Amino acid sequence: MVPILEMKNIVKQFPGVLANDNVNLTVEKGSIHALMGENGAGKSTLMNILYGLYSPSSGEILFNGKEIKITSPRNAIEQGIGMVHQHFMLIPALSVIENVVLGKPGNKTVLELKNDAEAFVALGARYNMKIDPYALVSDLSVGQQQRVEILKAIYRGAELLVLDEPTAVLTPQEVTELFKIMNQLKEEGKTIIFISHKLNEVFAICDTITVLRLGRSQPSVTAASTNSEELAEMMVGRKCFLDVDKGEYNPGETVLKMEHVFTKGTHEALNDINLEIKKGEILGLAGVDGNGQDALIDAISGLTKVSSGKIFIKGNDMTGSSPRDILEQKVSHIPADRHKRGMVSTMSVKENMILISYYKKPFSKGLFLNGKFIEENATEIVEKFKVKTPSIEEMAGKLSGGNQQKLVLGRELSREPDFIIAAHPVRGLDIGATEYVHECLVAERDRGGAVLLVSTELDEVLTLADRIAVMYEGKIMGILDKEDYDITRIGMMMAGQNQ
Amino acid sequence: MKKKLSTGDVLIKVLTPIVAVGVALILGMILIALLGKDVGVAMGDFFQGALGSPIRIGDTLSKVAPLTFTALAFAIALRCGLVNIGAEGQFYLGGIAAGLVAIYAPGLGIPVIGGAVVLLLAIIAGFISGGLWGLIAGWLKVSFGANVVITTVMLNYIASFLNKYLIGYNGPFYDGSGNPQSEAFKVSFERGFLINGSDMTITIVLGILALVFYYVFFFKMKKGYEMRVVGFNSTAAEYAGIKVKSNALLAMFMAGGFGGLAGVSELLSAQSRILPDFSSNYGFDGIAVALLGQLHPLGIGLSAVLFAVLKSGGLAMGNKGTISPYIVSAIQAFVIILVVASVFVQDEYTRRKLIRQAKTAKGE
Amino acid sequence: MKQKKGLIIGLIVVLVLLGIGLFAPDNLKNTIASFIAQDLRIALPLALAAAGLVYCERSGILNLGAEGMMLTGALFTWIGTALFNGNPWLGILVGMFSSLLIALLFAFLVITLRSNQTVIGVAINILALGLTSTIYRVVQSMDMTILGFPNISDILAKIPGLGNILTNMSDIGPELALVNIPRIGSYLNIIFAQNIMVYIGIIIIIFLNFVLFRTDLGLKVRAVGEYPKACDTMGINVYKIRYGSVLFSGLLTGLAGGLLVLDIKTFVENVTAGKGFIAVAAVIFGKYTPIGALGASLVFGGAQAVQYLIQAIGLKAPSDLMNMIPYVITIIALAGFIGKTHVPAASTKPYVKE
Repeated sequence: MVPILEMKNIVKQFPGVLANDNVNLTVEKGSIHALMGENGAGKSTLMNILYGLYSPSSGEILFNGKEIKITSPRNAIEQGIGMVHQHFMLIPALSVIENVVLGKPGNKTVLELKNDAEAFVALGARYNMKIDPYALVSDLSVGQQQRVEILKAIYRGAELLVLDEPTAVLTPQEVTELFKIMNQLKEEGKTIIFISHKLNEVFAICDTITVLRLGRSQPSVTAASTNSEELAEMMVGRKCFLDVDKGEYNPGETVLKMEHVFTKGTHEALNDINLEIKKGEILGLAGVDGNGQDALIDAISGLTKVSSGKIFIKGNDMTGSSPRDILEQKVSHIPADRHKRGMVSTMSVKENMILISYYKKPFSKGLFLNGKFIEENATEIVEKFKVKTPSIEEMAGKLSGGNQQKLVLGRELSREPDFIIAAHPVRGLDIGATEYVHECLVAERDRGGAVLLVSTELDEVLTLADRIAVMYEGKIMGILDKEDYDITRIGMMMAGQNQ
Repeated sequence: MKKKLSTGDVLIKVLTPIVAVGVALILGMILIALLGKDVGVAMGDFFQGALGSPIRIGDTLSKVAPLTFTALAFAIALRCGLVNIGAEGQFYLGGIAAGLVAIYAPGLGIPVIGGAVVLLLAIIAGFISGGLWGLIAGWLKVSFGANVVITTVMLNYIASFLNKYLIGYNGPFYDGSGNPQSEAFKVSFERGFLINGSDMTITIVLGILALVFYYVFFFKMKKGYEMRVVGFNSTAAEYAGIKVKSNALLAMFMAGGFGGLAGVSELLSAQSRILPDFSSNYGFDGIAVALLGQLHPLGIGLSAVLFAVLKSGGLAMGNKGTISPYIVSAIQAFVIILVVASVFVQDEYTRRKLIRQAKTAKGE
Repeated sequence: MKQKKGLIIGLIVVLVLLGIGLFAPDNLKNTIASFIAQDLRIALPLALAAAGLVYCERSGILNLGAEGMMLTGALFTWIGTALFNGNPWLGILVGMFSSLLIALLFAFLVITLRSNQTVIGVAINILALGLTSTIYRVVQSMDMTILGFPNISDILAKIPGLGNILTNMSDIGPELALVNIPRIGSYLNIIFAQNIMVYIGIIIIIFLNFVLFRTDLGLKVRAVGEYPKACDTMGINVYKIRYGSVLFSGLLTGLAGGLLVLDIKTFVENVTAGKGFIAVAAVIFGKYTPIGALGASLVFGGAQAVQYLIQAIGLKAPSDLMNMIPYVITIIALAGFIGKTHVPAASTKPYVKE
């Protein structure tokens, strides 16, 4: 049988990056094909080429045996290629059915939403998916939104469906549901490309596996003929398991204490949070994205008001204090979104280095800034934290992602904090930078700092944390000590179940 | 470690406004030609009027101070991320307050030692009055999220009507002459500063001082740093414990204050009483001056001189009947558009440079 | 839900108006009727501009150049009408074409070159003020005869056969047959004997509301202003929709400017006097719907018509203070209603296709 899709010798060159370097991918009709690889391995680039979002620098694509040019997403849809992006391409302010028909070829000038809604509900029923077609997308849960995305693609006649890391935002239970749907689609003869970097999931659902590493494709293997170790080696290229040298776990006095903290809000509001973090420990906060982690960080750092409960830092009641008063307690915050919060990308490296402390001596004298000290300070941090920049006058936005994170890290850690909030500190960083950031955090802990590490990557939390708290829908489901680590149990807690 | 910007970058920064002005002037000339006027005659009138004699030059330079002040009114707010189109209204409020001081303060027993005390009072009153007018838009923004452009434009019209009312037939400051106007100022800035017989006054020195203040405030002072952080990235400002709202309010007060000073310097230098519509568009000129000067103090100073020439040349053309002085507004708009659009060209230049570098890196 | 609320408000307004017509004393009744007529006359250009701007804003572009587009449309309608011997229909087409060109410049700058929408909007206004005033002084001396649009009663009177039934002839020209209704006849005639463009304008606005919420194109416009990247992956050309929306808002703001000139039958420098900005405020106040914008415009129009009302009642208030009212009301509406309506999520954010 002719494969449904063949991508041959695909090359994609971006300014400064060779994202795909002679990639080959062959997908059989009616199969579930895994596309694996680390962050930055070139998976997304390849799929964006397939979906017509990028045009390849060279290479050819065969669909059902015929060479095709995919000029745009619309073109891809017309050829029968559908895609569910990791960040959903749904418009929150519109209803489900409006999202489904948006841009659909063959729409009448005056929309016939009623007809479409009926057909859509019928399609959903076939896959056991019940969704109100007139609900606003913003009112749906993440899992429901994903189902809308899948149905939308099928509704438009997708034969080949690309699912880009669909499980990243789901609880284990929702993942099971998704797999059921995927299997049913396969039985009906649809083909699925499943992008993931999670080994167990790939073995659970896929027939064939292609691994990308550093922009190059490895020869495909069948799931039956391989094992986890082999795949991991193909992905990473060397046997490397995250391991960090840590000093003895020797917690001191309590630094952060939260008592029955609630916040207002609809989705991720905090719901009776009780938490303690001590000197010399890293507390890992695990959980699926969007379960109140951001609200917790904002409550601690004073960026949102607590509706009830108390927050103590080093024994001082800081409930309702301003962000600055909290920072003054030697709290450092490495924010999740460094572009939005952590730095001012249109200011120089030098000016970014004083973002938190500019008003204090010796950064300023009276009403004026102390230019000489500010320069010395920036030079020192840049050297100590190995920030690669042509000059301290360079605009921070022009640095690479890893160097921007080092800039933020350097600024925050050079304040010798007693308490560090690190939110997804290695998101989007390469392996070298990741290791460096991890070393720094552990060094802070060994120095006697208290660290709150928020991450959705379980591996990261398991490696670094002394204790793990799991959040689900604004609640802390439980806190585990190192000796009680148990992945299944953590997984259950992430899904909202305890014991 | 310390390295300044590369020469290429500096060159682009300096070349951009020069090219923008050049192209804008050419577009202006094309416009004049299209309207069937003799470009040569128009240019002759223009330069004769703006720079034809020492006195003419002095008259032209007398416009530098109000232009500098309105440019600062725009630039200060923009540094804090707010687009203040209200310099025109702030100009009126500042002018009215200063004018009233100049008319009535000498009668209140305030010593008129060469007018200095009264003038100082007028400056303070003008600054505060303009500042409060700016503050209204700031307050509407931080309390209700009302778009500053729209509120400041509305406030411009309100200010203009307020002025007309105050000196109109039913207004409290009408002089009873049969024309809508106030009484004459008893004290004003002395003309003939530096150039005898010209309209120049000491306000040009105040303008230069304001530019120095602007530079020191934003680049050497804590508060100015704070304000710039807020302007560039208010989320990061909140994260850093900087109060976004109070900075926005202060920025609008300061911006309004400088807009007010523009009114003070124009009214107490070039005019002898408060009249309706006394601004002649200074508030909008300031936007172009600030943008052409790339918000840099030196740039603003030079642009203010350039626009003073444009403005006086334009007026001269208007007086001769060659073409409406409004042609200057069109040229200003071309300047703004070209300067703003040049950002795109610069970005493209950087992007292409990166691609080139990537390609050579690959070739090696 | 929302539609019901609108209907109820509409019904209440109609009932109140009828009640006034039936029970108020004659002189008060006529004053109120002419207030309403003035309000409609003033509000309609504003509402048309705002309805066009709804499309623009919904597609994610904040068009602060509306004032300039309106002003350009006003001047060229004036010139066009004169060139076509006073024909307002052809004149207004010239006006709309001129504002379309300005809108094209604006669209190119903010969509293709991704320039700051606020600053470019302001520049467009300065440009339009400069151009129109300069050109005006050159053509000022031309012989200008301007005929406004005809009144609905004049048109109805000319319909063969039906003219006599639909209208009555009076000393000052035809009146609507409504005038024959006892008690409220003349009251209704004052309200309804409007310029034909008031009727056409209301129909256009209702039509635009339908297009925005019920058609494929309208859905695309609404989607593009919320999440352009998603639209792109769905095969929608974001640039095309945004260009189209900006150009359309240019056409309608030009139409509005033209109506302004045809209403007062002359052009003066800066004749729009902030009305373009008030239209932008009406978009927000009207919750980004064409019909809402009409409602908002009636409020702003009422603020201006209040002057006539006060004069009619015989109160003495300085005209300069009265002139401030529309601007003050705009600020109050803006402050009171922002934050209570959903602003398109991608508003003012340029879209960069990867």
